[in-house]
Amino acid sequence: MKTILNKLGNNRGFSPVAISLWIAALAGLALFPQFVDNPYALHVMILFFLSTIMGESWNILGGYTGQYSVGHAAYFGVGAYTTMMLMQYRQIPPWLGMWAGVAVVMVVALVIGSICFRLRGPYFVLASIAVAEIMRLCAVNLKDLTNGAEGILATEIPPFKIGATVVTDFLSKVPFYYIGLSFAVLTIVATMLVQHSKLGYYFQAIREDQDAAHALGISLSFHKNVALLLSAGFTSLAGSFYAIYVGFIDPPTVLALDISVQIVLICIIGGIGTIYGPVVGSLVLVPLSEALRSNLIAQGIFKLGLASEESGVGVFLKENLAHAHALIYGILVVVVILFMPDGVLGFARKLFTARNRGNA
Amino acid sequence: MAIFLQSLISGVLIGGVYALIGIGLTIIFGVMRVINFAHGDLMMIGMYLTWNLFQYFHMDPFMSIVVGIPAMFLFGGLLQKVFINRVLGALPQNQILLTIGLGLIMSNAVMLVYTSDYKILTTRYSSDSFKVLQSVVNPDKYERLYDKGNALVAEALAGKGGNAAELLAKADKKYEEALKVKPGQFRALANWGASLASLARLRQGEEAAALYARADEKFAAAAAIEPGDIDILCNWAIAYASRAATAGPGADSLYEKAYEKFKEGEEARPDSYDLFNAWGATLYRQALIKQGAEADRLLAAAWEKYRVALDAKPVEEGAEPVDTEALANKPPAEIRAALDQVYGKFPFAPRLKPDKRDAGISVSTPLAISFVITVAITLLLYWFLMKTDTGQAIRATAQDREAAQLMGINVKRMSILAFGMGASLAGTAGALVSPTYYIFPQIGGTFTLKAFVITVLGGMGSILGATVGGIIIGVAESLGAVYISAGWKDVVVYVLFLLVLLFKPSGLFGKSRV
Amino acid sequence: MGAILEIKHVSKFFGGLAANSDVSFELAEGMIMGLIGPNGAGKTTLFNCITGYYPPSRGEVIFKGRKMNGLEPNKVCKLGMARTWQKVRPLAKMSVLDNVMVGALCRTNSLKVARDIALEQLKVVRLDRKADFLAGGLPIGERKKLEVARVLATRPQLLLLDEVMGGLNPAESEEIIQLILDIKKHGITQMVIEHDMKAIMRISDRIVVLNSGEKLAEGSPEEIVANQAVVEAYLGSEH
Repeated sequence: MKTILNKLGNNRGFSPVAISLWIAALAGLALFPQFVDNPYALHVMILFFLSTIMGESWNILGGYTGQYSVGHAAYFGVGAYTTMMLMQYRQIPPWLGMWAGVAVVMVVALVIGSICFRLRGPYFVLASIAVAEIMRLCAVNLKDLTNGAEGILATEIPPFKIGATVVTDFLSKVPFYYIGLSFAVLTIVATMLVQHSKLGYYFQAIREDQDAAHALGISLSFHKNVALLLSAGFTSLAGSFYAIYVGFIDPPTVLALDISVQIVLICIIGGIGTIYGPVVGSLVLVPLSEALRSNLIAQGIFKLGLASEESGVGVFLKENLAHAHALIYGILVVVVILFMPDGVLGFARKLFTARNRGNA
Repeated sequence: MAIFLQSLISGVLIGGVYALIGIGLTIIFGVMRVINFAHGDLMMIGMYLTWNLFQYFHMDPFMSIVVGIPAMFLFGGLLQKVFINRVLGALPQNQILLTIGLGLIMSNAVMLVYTSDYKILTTRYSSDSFKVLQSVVNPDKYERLYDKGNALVAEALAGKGGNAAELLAKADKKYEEALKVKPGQFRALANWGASLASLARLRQGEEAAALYARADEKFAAAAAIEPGDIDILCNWAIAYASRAATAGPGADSLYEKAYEKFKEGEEARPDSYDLFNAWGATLYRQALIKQGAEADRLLAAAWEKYRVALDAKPVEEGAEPVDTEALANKPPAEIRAALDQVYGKFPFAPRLKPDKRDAGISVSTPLAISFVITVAITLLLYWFLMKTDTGQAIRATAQDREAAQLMGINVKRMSILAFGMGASLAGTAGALVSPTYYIFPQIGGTFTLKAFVITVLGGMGSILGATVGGIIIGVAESLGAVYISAGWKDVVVYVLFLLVLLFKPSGLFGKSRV
Repeated sequence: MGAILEIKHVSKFFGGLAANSDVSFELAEGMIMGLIGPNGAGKTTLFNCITGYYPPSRGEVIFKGRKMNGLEPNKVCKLGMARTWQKVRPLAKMSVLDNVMVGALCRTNSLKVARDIALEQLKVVRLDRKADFLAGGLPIGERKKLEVARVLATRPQLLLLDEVMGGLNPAESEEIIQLILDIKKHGITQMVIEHDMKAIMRISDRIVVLNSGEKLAEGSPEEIVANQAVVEAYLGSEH
């Protein structure tokens, strides 16, 4: 296990072990829908992919470059809105619209970057929140453009055709599964490529010490903006994917501060600045919140006999645990920050190295 | 001018509460260099605390701060000791996330207990307001007198204080003076007439007759300016009707005069609820002093008018609905019983129609009280920080933590004090706005953001800055809501925030950026 | 040899306070210049003005005949002028090798080339055995060496060293002195801020003395030792 963790965390090169693990994981995920046709299982997997894309995207800017944006909802939301508006008002199919979304988001990101990157530390965080809030309020108030607080409902997703052949008509969850999977793999691979490049070194240098990096020949504004463009672009893809999958967006679901915080949480819980941190974070958060939402946890507690379903505690749990996922998020964040500031992944690594030393 | 002053004053008042929130955040930041993202949630806790004290112990929300301040202080100190203290040396982003996590726990725990429904804390004075600066806003002497007269009549008709006659007599004088300044004003004449008729109802004999005669005169003068004005005609008719009620044998001719006016009104507007309602009531009144077929005829006519009124507007809230269709062909006795219900309590009071122009600046009473408390607390806080040893130790810690430690200041204790103070200020702000705001678990978020804007505007760590910043944000919001739109007012605030961050990052009162 | 760096009437004000006022001197190529002065004399401020950390309020900084005022630090570094920091700034969560590679990437886009340069520089400062350690975990002496290796990897022509011997024991200081003399052999011009007088006298070809932001004296180490004004500034006038 230790060697696997080390290989996974290795910054340089790809070991045969890592490559075979990758192939096995990809094959398993690709075949998953062939064996499992339970729509709920597919739904959870799609949410997992979405969460991974969001986390990995933020990680490029927040984890590697150290620019703690708490305003990524802006990119998520603008991507989602662009795709949906193009689809509903201009009949542009979403697999084209989402790239338009990426383009729009990148322009928005450049504007936001030019404002926020003049600031550092907590001031940067506050500015990123303010800018995202401005975007949300614009979506609420520009009713002619965005339909305001009512949001946009996708009436119909046009089937995806190449030439005359219909590739998929998006009637089941399977096509969404594969789109989510490929985007997740795309963002992970992109992050790996970045990490193993000059860009990755420069991003990390900026994260560690901006002034030192500046004096070593690194242009701060250029590299921060590059990190932001990458990060925002992928976040926009996640937003568009979400919009098409759910079929409805409004300002609170795609542009609210909650979304920004949630994106950061995925990375914090998994471990920021690592390739697999967001994956681990999603593996923790998505099943947890789904289990809470569908009352699986309450039922588990009853099955284990920890509380009776009819008792006062049981009734309270059954009624409330479903709404408690945000509460659990909060508790998770506090626990992670206090006891494992490097996230689950960092914690696990520390645990294994400690045990290894004990053995030696 | 009036609108500007109105929004300026409301802005300053709410700004006082914002200042409290901002001061709390800035003290925490100053002493610990931690940006508290759970600040709005602390305020929300304060709101719920106040709501509970009000709901279960009937404690006035403004009085409840006596309980709230120490309770929130303990809560904040505890948070600091158990959680915040552990991340003081950590990366700023980890501190931020910790406080975000604590905020999530607070708001969602409250949601589990109280659900996410809006709670409303309604006090006796929740929607009260009073007027200030009438003479400043209303430099025109006629308008001032006219407004004063209207206000007096409105007060008298609302039945507050039991000195209606006195108020109406004063109003009489005001209208008279107003019309001396500017003769021939339609509204002043119309309202003067109405007020004289109301006063006449409260008097007897000769005095009443004289007053009715004067009212008649005023109505006539007003009607000459605007013939066919429905309100005049309605009030005029009501004046005749109420005079007829006390006139004895001469009643019939007075009723006839009233019907004349109603008919004129009908010609001008055949579908006025007020007019037909009053008409029906008048007919019903007259029927009460008649017998036999005459009475039946009047009752049937009253019934007709009432049905027209109902067609114009559905039954007023609170009144018993009458099944008009079912009653249409019933014997007079049943119709009469139904009309008893409807017109039994008909007031026969004239209705005032002041111009659509609000004189003076309206100040919400709860906001005004909260502003006064805010000022008192802020002064107390200044005194504490400037004059007491503990206050000076807190300021020293804020200036230079390490130096303070070297000088023998118990920095940990100061941090607990600071967080406790921050929490109780936020909680107090929550208590102060609870009579005017909806209370729900997620309300904290907006206030957290506002608190940041305020402290950055004033300069992180500066108490004076937070005070002024709070007022500025209150005013900017209020003016933004009026002159741009309510939906965009927050955008105004955020843009202001970004501008300050970019061009004066140390804030208006901050010395240097940290 | 011509002057690689010319400082012309440089002043720097913070609010109303002058941290540097009207400082002028020239630095000949291949030389080591010592920059000394009591605490608060404005030595680090001058470094900051020269390397573009902030622009001088007045005056000019001319490097290789080119005016540098207003250039950002990264451009300054690209042009061949690199600096270390008085308080070391390791990229704490990156390995020692990665730290030096970041410096090396200033001149190359290839990670492989950068790695070779970095390993070579680590050998020069004798940190190659610790290449895979996290930079944040190094003891202070090694952090100072890492700092030097990192700037050397940017292939500078002019190196500004800000108290690289501060906080080191005599053996470590001696190592750094040898390192500085080695660097000189490679033809790299150096400007050194140092508090250790013995060391600065040993390594410097020329010395500039700053006091209260102004240039107090300039000359060879022998001349400086003999300068009455310098002695007073350092020891106080009562001696």
